[in-house]
Amino acid sequence: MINETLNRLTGEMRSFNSLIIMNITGAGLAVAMGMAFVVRNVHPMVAARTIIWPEAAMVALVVAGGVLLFRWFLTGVEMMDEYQDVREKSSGHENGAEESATELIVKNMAFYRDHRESMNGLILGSLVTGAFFLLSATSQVRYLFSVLGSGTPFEVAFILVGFSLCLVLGVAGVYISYMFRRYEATWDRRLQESREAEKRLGELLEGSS
Amino acid sequence: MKGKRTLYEIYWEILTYCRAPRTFTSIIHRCSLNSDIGQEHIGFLLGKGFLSRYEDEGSNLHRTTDKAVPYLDAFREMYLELYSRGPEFKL
Repeated sequence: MINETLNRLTGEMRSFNSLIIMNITGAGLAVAMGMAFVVRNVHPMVAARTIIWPEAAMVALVVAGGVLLFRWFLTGVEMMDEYQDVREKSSGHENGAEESATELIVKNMAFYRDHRESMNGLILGSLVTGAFFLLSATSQVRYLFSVLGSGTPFEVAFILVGFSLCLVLGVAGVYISYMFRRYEATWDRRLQESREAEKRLGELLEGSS
Repeated sequence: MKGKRTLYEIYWEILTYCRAPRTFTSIIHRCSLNSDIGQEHIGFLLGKGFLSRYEDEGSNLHRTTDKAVPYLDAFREMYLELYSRGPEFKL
């Protein structure tokens, strides 16, 4: 029974760690794409020494979004760093597996309480980014078909890579957001139940004097 | 252990750590508590008789007493139960 709980805990922690890594990868790719967009659009303006509209407005928009994306990326990195402490092996208890499992549960709860707010930010960030990239992929569909019919192989490959990246990032963003919400729901329920446990523990402490 | 913990979780942590005799400094270090808060919690557990304090070779040591066993058992059972209930998180 206790080994089953420990296995479940370990599996759950592995899943959450993978989710954080997916989140960082998604955020990193989104930041990189944003930077590539800015460089591609700023370069002609620098060469012409003039501001070109509407590219300048798009660059400003992407830079503003990029700041949020970078914050999203940093939050993910911080979360990963702190989650490594939680994942560190239990320090070994005299009562063995049961106390190791309890320690892991307490550590996970403390971690969740600490990061609940930033998790909401990650949910919103990944959802908005996912939606943005899905819209971007959708807007490229018509162009993709026109290039498929008449473009050179290089053009086709170029637009296909861009389209695929947008599609993957879009789906990943929506999926990550959905998985973070599931993680939140799982731990919110446990926190709720821990409040009931606290009441009983409080009674036990009062009765023990 | 770091992070936001409830009082009961901190008590559990101190009591499990003090199954072997520990100094005040090692307890607050291990449980990530500042000196004042650590003093408060340890004082509370001493008052309840869950911890005992004694001197050994010039060091003040704390050790969990048998009186704390029902609390530790109840805490462990409740936390394992609340974790085992309901769906688990999986990718």
